[in-house]
Amino acid sequence: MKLIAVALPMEAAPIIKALKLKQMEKRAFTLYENDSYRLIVTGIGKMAMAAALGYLYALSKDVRGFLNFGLAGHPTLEIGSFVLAHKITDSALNRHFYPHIPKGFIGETHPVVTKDAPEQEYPLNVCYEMEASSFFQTAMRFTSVENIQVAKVISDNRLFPFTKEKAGHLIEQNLHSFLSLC
Amino acid sequence: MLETVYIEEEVKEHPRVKRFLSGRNPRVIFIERYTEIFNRKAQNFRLQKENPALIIAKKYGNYLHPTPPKFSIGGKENYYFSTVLNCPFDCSYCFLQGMFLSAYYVWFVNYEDFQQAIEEKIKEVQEPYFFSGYDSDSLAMEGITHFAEEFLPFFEGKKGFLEFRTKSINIRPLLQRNPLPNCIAAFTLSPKIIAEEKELKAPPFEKRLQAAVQLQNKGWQIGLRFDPLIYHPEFESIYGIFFKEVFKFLSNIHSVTVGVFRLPPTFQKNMERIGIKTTDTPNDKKEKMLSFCKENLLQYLPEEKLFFQ
Repeated sequence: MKLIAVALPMEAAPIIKALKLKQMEKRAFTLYENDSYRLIVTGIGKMAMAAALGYLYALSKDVRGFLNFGLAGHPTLEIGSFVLAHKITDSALNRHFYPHIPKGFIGETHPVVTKDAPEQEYPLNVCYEMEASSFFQTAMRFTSVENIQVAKVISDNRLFPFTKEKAGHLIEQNLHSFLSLC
Repeated sequence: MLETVYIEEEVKEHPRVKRFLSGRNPRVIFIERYTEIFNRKAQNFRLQKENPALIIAKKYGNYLHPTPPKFSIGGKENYYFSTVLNCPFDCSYCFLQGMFLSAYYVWFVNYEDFQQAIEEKIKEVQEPYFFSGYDSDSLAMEGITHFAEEFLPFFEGKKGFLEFRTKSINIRPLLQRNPLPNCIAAFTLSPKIIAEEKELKAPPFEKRLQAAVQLQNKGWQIGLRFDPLIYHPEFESIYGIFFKEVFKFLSNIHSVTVGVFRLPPTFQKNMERIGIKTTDTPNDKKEKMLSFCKENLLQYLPEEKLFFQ
C-alpha cells in the first residue's frame, strides 16, 4: 500500500481519476483508495499535513511508500515543469531533509522550501510551497527516507502568478510523471 | 554508475572534486556537511545499496584510529584510516551494513590532512602500521578517488607501513610503479563456492587471485586475508582445496590473516532490523575451523607470517 497526500481537492482530482480511487466512508479527512493506494486531501499548511498523514498511516496496513504531490512556485522555472525534491527545507525551523532519488530517475530535481505563508517574492532559486517539510518529517516517523518522495508541478513564477483555474490542468498534464514514481 | 553526487560547499572547488567531475555528468546536489545525509535516522542500508549516491566531503580531525585488538600483521602500533566510508561490493556478511545506517559512499578529499596525521604518527611511534581498507575497500573506488595513486608516492621511503586491503582488481596504480618495501596489497579471498554466494558484486575468486599473482610478479609483497572464514558443512574439504590453489600461485607472501565470522551485537541488531540474516558460525565449529586452517596453512608458510584475528 502506498499513501498519497495532497493539500487541495483540485490536486487530488486527476490522481483519483487516473488511479480509479474510490472515496472511503466519510471521516475526519477526505480519503480515497483502491487495493494499492490511499489518497488523503490534507488541507493547506504544515499542521494540516502532519495531522492528515498521521491519521492516514494509522488507518493503513503494509505501507510501503509515501508520496506528496502538489503545486509549487519557483522564481524562474517554466509553468507546468515537473520536479522531484532533492532537498526539503523547513524555512521556519531551518531544518533540511534529503529524499533518496529513485534509481534511474532522469527528470529534474530541485530544492523545495516549505513556508508558513504563501511566498510571492521567490527570493531563492528553489520551489516554494507549504506542506513538504511536514509531510517528509511525519513520514520519516513511519518509514525510511528511500520510501518517501515529494513531487511538485510549478504553478507560478516571477512572471506568472498563481491562478486557481489552471491548477487542476497543470496537475493533470504531469500525472504521468507522478505516476511513474508510484 | 553514480547518478547522484552530494558535494559539500566547502570542497566544491577542490582539485580532486574537479578531477572527478571532469568527464562525468551526475546529478550534483550541494550540501553544508555530509552528516546532513549520511548515517541519519530513518535510512535503510539495503534500499540505498540499490542506488547509492556519493557524498564528497572534508574530514575534520580523527584521521587515525587504533585498530581493534588482534588486528595486526606483525606491527606493534596499528592504526586505520578511512578516506572512504562504504564499499561498492555487496558481501552478505559485511559489517558495514550494521555499522552505518546509510549505504551512500562518503569520500573525504582532504588527503593532505590524513597524510599529515600519518607523518606525525610516524614521528611519534616506532614503525606504525596503517590500514586503509577498514571502512571500505582500499582499491575498489580507485577510479573515483585515486587513493592508491596518491598515497603510494606519499609512503615511499617512510618509516611507516601501509596495507591496501581489497577484493578489487583495480591494481593499475601498483603495477605502474616499482614495489615499495613498506606497502602491501592484501587480498581478501574466499573459496569460489563461498565467494559466489556471499561476495556479490566483488570480482570472482579467480580474478582476485590473478590480480595478486600479477602484483607478485611485479615484485609486490602480497597479503592474504582469509577473513571471515565462512562455515560450510564441508568446510575442511572446501578450504583445503582452496588453500592449495592459492599457494600454487602465490609465494611472495608478507602475511596471512585468518578469522571466523564475527559481529558486534549492535551491528547484528542493526542488520537484523533491515532484514539481513546474519549467519554466525556455530560456536562449537569455530575452534575446529581455526585449528584446521592453522594446520593446513603451516604447510605453505612459516608461523610468523600467520595471524589469527
